[in-house]
Amino acid sequence: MPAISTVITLQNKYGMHARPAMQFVEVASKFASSLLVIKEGKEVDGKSIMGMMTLAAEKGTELQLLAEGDDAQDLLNNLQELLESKFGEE
Amino acid sequence: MKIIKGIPVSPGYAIDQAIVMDADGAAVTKRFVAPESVNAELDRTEIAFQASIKDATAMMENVSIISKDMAPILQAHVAMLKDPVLRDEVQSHIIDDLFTAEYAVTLTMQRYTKELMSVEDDFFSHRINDIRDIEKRVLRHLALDEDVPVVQENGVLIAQDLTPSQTALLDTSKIKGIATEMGGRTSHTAIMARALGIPAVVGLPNICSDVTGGDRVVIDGVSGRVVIDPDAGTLKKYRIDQRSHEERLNALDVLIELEPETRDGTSIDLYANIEFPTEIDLVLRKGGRGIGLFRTEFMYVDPKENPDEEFQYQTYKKALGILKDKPLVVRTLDIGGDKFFENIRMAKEKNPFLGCRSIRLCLERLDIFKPQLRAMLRASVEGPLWILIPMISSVDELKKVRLLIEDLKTELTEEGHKVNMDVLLGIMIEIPSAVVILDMLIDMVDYVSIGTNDLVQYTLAVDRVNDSVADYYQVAHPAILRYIRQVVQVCNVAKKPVTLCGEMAADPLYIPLLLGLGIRSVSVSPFALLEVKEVIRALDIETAETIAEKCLGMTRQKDIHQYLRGQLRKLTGRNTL
Repeated sequence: MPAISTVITLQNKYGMHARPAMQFVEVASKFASSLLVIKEGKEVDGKSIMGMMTLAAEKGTELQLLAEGDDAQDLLNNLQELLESKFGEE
Repeated sequence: MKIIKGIPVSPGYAIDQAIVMDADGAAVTKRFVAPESVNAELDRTEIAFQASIKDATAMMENVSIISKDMAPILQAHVAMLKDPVLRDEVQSHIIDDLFTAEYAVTLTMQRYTKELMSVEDDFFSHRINDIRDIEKRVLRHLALDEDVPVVQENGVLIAQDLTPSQTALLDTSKIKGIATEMGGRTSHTAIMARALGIPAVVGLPNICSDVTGGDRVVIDGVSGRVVIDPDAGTLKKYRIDQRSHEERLNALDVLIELEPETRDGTSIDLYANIEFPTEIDLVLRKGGRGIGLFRTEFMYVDPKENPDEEFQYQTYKKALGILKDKPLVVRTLDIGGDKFFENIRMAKEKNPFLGCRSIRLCLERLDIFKPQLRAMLRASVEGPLWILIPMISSVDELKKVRLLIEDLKTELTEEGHKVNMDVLLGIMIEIPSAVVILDMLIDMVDYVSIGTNDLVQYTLAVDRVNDSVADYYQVAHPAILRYIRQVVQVCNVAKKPVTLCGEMAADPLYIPLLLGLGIRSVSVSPFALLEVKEVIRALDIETAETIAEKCLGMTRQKDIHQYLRGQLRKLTGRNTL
């Protein structure tokens, strides 16, 4: 199955800090597909909180999400929703 | 290989595996497991992680009672503990590298820590604390695992800081060296290391992150270096240094039982200078005759307890108890107001060394001075405590001090305390005026102590901590030599004992000169006791006097040093320190 990719931009004030990172990982972990998150060439596993934290993505950062698997599209849709709601922060 | 420079606080060399201690005292040592134990190790790890998750989750549920701010932090911890990538990494270390669970966990956490440290945003770098927290949590669960014994092996202790409460629980017989991030020459770490006779280096920022438990580490307590994972050449060099150092110490230890007397039978009193009561044991082990200078500043600078009269009395009493019948010369407070823990500074001084410090400050602030003197007087019945007053410069000053002491003796007796009415009183000779008018002062004291460190400073008008004039600070300056001789002469005429307690006496190079000038009593760092004794025993007074005469005729320190080096070589076949 080919990987599906989408690009998102972080809108919330403090970027991918601990709380949003946890929510992100929590959502991503619900799905079977693998997820890679890429920021300026750096790749981390989207289901790893440690990985997401070391990404240090701030507001306005562009992240490429690369999902591969049967529910890849669902995974990406859910994450997009999460981001658009600014992680429920505002 | 990584070499880090810090402050050497205890001499010697240690080459051993690192035991990295975190703030809670948990230690990680052993590195490898046997291949057949890998599965058991993986099981242990899984159990520890699950237990940690359970703990953190339970805490989170109770946290509404404690604090709302804690909830997101604990949530983050649980998320981190559940992180599949993290768990994978730990497991890989165990399977592929044959590392123990503890080492695998620590390594993994350290890697993440390093990654986060390079992230510039403050917010993310704060997560480093979280990583440390979960590392501790998992390690604690691993340690609680009954099936695996906690191995206590020999090693070098690496820690952020060593407080007395932490060191109280350590098996010090297994510690071969110490390196800490914090601390200075007079920190608890330094004192403890010296008391144990092991090398120590302090002031090494980030050493705890640079070293991993199990790393081979060299502690060079002589030059103040720590070498992590030394290469073959460095390792060889340090093995040689270590052997030489040990041979030297063994050779010196033979001297402990021998008398500090010259070949012609002249006895020299060998005392020691200490900063803390805990150093007394070391002094006794090295054959010191007593404490020639007990610096009391530790009670006023960053103290653990308020140094009120009772506390001081107990401190002096305890020290006397350890010394049994050996003398304890206690010097009254000798610092400027700015060093006080309460910061009792009046105005900021332009020339603090020439300002209101030491005895001058004490006479200004009787609320501080009286408790110290009262404590000393009360302790004077518990053993041979001698009172030593620093920085005396005039007859007036000394009269004031004597009067005060007499008043306090009366006051204490009226209150029902026992006091040694004949307690010995002495002054430090460190200000040139005291040298010049010693004949006017000598009848008012029982003994004197020459403090060459400050005497050089005040005589040559050199700030001893100012690097730009370091060359002007000359211990073997003709003026100093003449001053020492003058003090000795006045004391001999008055038949009062004189001790030399500056760093000058700790250097074997100067011993022949000092003995030749008439010094018969010195007080030195506990480390120097045996080396000084070695030179004393190689000397005879006639030779010493010839050497001194020769030196007194020289005009330059350089010439004096050259001459003394030659003489020392002849006496012991050795150069200076």
